[in-house]
Amino acid sequence: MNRGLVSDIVPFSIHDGPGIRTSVYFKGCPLNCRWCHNPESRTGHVHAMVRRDLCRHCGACAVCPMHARGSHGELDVMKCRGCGLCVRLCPAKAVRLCGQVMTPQEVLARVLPDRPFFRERGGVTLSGGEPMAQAEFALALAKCFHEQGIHVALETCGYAPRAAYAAMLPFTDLFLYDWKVSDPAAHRAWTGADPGLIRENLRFLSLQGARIVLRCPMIPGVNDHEEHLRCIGKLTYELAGICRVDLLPYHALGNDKRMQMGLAREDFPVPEANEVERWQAVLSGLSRVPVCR
Amino acid sequence: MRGYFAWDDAHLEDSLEAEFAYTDVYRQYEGRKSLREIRCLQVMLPHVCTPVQEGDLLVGRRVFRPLGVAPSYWNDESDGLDNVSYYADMARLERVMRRESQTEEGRARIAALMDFWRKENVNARVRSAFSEKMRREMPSDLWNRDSGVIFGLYRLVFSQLDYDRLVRLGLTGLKAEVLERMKDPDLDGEGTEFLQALAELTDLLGEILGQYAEALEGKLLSGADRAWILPMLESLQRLRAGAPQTFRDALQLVWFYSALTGGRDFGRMDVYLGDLYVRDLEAGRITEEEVISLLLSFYRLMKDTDSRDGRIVVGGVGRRNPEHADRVAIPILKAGMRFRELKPEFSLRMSPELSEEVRALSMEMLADGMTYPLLFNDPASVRAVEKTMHVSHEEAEQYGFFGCGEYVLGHCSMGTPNDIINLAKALEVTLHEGMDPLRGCPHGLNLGKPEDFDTFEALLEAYRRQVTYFTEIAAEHQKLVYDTVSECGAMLMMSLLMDDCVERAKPLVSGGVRYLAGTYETYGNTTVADSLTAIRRVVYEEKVMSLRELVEILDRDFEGHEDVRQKLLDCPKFGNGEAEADDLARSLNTFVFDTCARQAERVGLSSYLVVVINNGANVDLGRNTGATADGRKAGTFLSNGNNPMAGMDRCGLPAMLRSMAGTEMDRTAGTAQNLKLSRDLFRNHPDVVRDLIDTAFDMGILSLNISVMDPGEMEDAMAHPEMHQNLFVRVGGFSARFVSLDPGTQADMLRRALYG
Repeated sequence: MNRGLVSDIVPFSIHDGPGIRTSVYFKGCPLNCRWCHNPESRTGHVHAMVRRDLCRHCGACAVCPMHARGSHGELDVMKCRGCGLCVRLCPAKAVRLCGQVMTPQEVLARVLPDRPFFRERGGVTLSGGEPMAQAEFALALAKCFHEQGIHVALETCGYAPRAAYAAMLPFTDLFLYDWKVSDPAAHRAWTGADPGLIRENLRFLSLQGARIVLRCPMIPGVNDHEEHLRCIGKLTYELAGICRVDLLPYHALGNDKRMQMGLAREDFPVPEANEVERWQAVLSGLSRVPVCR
Repeated sequence: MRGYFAWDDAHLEDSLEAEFAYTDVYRQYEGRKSLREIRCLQVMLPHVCTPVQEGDLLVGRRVFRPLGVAPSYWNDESDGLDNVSYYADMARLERVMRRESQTEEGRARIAALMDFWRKENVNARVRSAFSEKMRREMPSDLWNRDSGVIFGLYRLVFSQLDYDRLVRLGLTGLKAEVLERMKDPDLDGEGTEFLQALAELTDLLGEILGQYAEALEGKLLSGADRAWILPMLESLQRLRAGAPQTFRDALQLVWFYSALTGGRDFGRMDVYLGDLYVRDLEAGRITEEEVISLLLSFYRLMKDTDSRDGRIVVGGVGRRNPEHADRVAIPILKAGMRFRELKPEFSLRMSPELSEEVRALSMEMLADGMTYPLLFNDPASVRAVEKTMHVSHEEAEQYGFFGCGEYVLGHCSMGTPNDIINLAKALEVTLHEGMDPLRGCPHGLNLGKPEDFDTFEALLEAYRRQVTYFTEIAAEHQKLVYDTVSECGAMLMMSLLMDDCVERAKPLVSGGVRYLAGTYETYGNTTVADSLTAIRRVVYEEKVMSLRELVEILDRDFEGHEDVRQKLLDCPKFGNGEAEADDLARSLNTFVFDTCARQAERVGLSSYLVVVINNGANVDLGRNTGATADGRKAGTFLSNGNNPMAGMDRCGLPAMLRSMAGTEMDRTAGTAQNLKLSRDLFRNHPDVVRDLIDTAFDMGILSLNISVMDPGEMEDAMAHPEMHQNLFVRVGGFSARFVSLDPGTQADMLRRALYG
């Protein structure tokens, strides 16, 4: 049976597509963006997360059969296999498991009670992580929701085989397509992946008539320069499918989750509001479509 | 004494001559309630009026004297409790008596006055008529201080007077109606006396307007700004001669009447101001900006007059002039946004035909963080009122609401909430063999020891019997208040503007009002539901401990048993769309609603309905409630309105709304649903807000109270209160400046989830 690994299902999501949505966060991502604000969705396995502020350092978790836990509550997330023993043993309730294997029907059952809120505009957003890293599961889910008449948005980094996107097209109403770094070398450096496939898939989807919102994380020191904005602007003229650009200014909330995973912080400067306004104004002058944030 | 204005007193309470004269009249007309009341008003009303102040565009500032007759009087500087009908503020009288300047003779005179009113004030008369059960179970009225399951309140508040009739007829027209009615040869003596008193009341009000006019003329002569004084003066002259002719006249008369009545519910303001507004506007007699200035003066008077509530309703079905009403709703709301205060409480009846302009303005007001307007699901509210109050569709269409959102029928019903129950305390005494552990004395029924409840159903049944027992007493108390008021007074000001009183020639609560109803405030509904859900699971299903052991742990406030508390906290909670908790909550609520509703026939009310609201009582009552089995620590606030316990909604907004929609609100006279939403949502996602409200209403939720703020704003306000004087929050049934709330209520607000 088709199953997928989901890190969370979040109702009343209002930043991931139109209207009131429920977001299904897939777990696992082929990219390794240093600013990622959902680091727990990057790992492709179930694992523990530890709230260090609650941890009493009692060492109860050190019995871990995978030796993923230290005697003071430390966690090696890559060793953890999510057996849940430490979750049960922790007296401070400082540990939780992230990730759940679910069938499309189970996801559907979780989402359906929220359906009245979707009304004309809202729906479900497949997000992550990278949904297309579990392409079969993503497709099964999109079909499920589509059959129910629920609006489906796919939030994707674009790094998956073209055939997988082709399969998704009939069941996806809106693509929230990431455009992170325009310069290919810089893209490789900051995300660990080649942007060629991403660019091609974007072109392909546009040619196929997909509705696309380009989602552009703005990371100071990484892509907050005019050249990048010019490239985005150019894309909007080249690709008819792009109907809007969303600027997503960097925020540091991912660091809290990195700490819970036993990872070191990754800090970038948080942009000031007037800086974001400036980007928006500049890009608006270069873009064929509205620029939002 | 007539014609003697309070403003002639340098200090209001330096002289109690008005009080002595009033008391003389009161004694003189013993046994003739209508005549007595009009004579008392004739003495007292001129003394409560105070002069116009700089910037006032309307006359009718008022104060409350230590003695008087009012639907409700309270003094926050003493006990803050309501006093109904003929009230006496002993603390204020005593203060005058103890002044150093007071002579021995003066002291003795005041002491005698106090002795008289101590027994004669209507609150005291109600208490002296208490049944034995009431004496046993309602030993204190201090609900905000003492421990107990039920408490009585004493008031005739929140009636929605027929200001539309007042505006159409004016004082002279109302008098003509009364005189016409008096021609009936079949009227009995009492009826004639009542109508005579009403006619004299219209004269009295006219005379006071005349005195205001004289005072304004005096101001003109002494060189006051003509542009300011003259329009006011001309308006008063018109109002003395007949019905309001202009928008200003209408506003002036409504304010004046309500100020002297002492009631602050303005009902469907868009209806009664709409026609004159449009007429003046189209004739070029007034601009929208001038209307806003007049309304601002109205709102300022409301704010400056001690009062709670102050509701202004706009929108909804059943308006005789929807187009005009929608047009005046715009300046009504715009002035509110400019005023940006906690009063008045704007309320929007959201019907399908709501104008987009009014809707958009209302959303802007909410986005601004004003907590207003309160939103009502209009079609569903009409259906609910029709069903619960057993009235016609046309009558239900005229519903209004008061206080925290309780329904009342516009100018044809009384629904004052005069009893409150702490449901969590009712469970506490049930678990303690009919004892209040805090007071250490018997309270309620002794239905057995914890070990006697060998099944969950047995415990549930005991709890239901306990609630029934207290609810019966409360209903009897509600009726007793009405009966005592009926014996003592006629409530003339209210009677004149309530349907049927003139026609029946009977005072308001003596057979005059069409529907004499009551409401019953319940607190801690969710706390009890969550507690019983946890008890069912931990004690009866998982058998982790006996009920006796659990009660002992609660008595120790979980000391040394944090693990047990954690286990209880982990049990399912109302507000997450989970059947285990929600189903029990629904059945408990329905039981309380129906038990209450059944009392109406038994005690002789047209309806007696639960209101699940909040006025901060969840904090006060929580202070005297021990630890509860939902994991709540002793003394902590109880749940608020129809909401989950603060912080226990763990599954998101849709799940919370599903749970709340599960409560059978259409068996109540109103429930409060509080939402904390982000400013980002309101500013940047108007479509989402629209979908959210429409969906909540489609699910059957009857009303929404919305606080809008930024994440972290409350935390910052606690650290830097001086920077956040304008952070308004909807606590439950009332709005407040966050920084002025007591720490318990602040904690309740903080713990609630912010959505969006």
